[in-house]
Amino acid sequence: MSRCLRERTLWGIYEGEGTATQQAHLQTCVACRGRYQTLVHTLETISSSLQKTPPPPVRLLRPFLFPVRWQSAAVGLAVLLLLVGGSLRLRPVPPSPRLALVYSEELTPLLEEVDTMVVMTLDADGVEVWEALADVAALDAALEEE
Amino acid sequence: MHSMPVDQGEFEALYRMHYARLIRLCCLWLDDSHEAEDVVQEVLLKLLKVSRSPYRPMAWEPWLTRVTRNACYDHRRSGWWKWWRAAPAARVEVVECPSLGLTLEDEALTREWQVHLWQAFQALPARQREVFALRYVEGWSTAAVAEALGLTVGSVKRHLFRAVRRLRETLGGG
Repeated sequence: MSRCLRERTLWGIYEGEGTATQQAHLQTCVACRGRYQTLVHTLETISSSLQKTPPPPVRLLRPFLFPVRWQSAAVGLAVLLLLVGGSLRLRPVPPSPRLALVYSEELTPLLEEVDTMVVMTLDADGVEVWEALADVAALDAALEEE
Repeated sequence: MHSMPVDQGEFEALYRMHYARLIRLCCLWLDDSHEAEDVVQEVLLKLLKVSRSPYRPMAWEPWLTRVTRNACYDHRRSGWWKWWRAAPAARVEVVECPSLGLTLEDEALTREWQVHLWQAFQALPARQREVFALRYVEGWSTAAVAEALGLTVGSVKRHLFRAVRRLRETLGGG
């Protein structure tokens, strides 16, 4: 076997699955032997570290789901408040359905009544005015006669 | 299953024998020591319940490992845990943990390297973590891992090799 062993094959040899040919190549090929020794060393270091050393209890602190830049958030919030406040001030306030109902049921007859009374008052005032004007004309005539 | 209840002394012996191992496994599978302790408490409660029943498993070690693995799996499936794991980590705080008989050689491993190894291990998919921990940390055979996890031997080997390759790539050993 002249080709160098693949990583999977080297790992298989470590697991005790290598064929006689692969074992023989490992004995003769310096490059493969070096790679195999590196693999064994890495695996044993990892295993030993995980076996004998308690895994450092890493506590992942996640205060927020997304990272927040406070200055940007404050500016964005201020702009949002300005927009919302401005739109509320500029928007005409429509009468509520309750007020419209009251207007139609109670205010309309009242206004009609008030209107009638105002007209009647104006009419009465008009009669008085004409009567007063008639008195003024009679007075003027009497003065001229004198 | 045997039909013989476990007495109090045997339960305590099982507790002493397996507690540290189960904590280590849960730390490897859940990456949170507090949650690991919670899960191991659940497992020990199940052990106590089973030990008082007339039936008990043939071998305690595979049974405890299987129950622990299932408890960790249930824990990982919970919505809160998913959210917690899915969110990006703001920072990593390493908390002091009592050592398990460290030698000078072990002490030579720097803290940075251990954190790096830990992060590399936690970056593995859950299945690869389970297989790797049982095979290389617990020292089980590939067949035993396959039986405990309900997988085929070929599947265990695939997961193992992928885990080894990813760890070597991350740690710079390959």
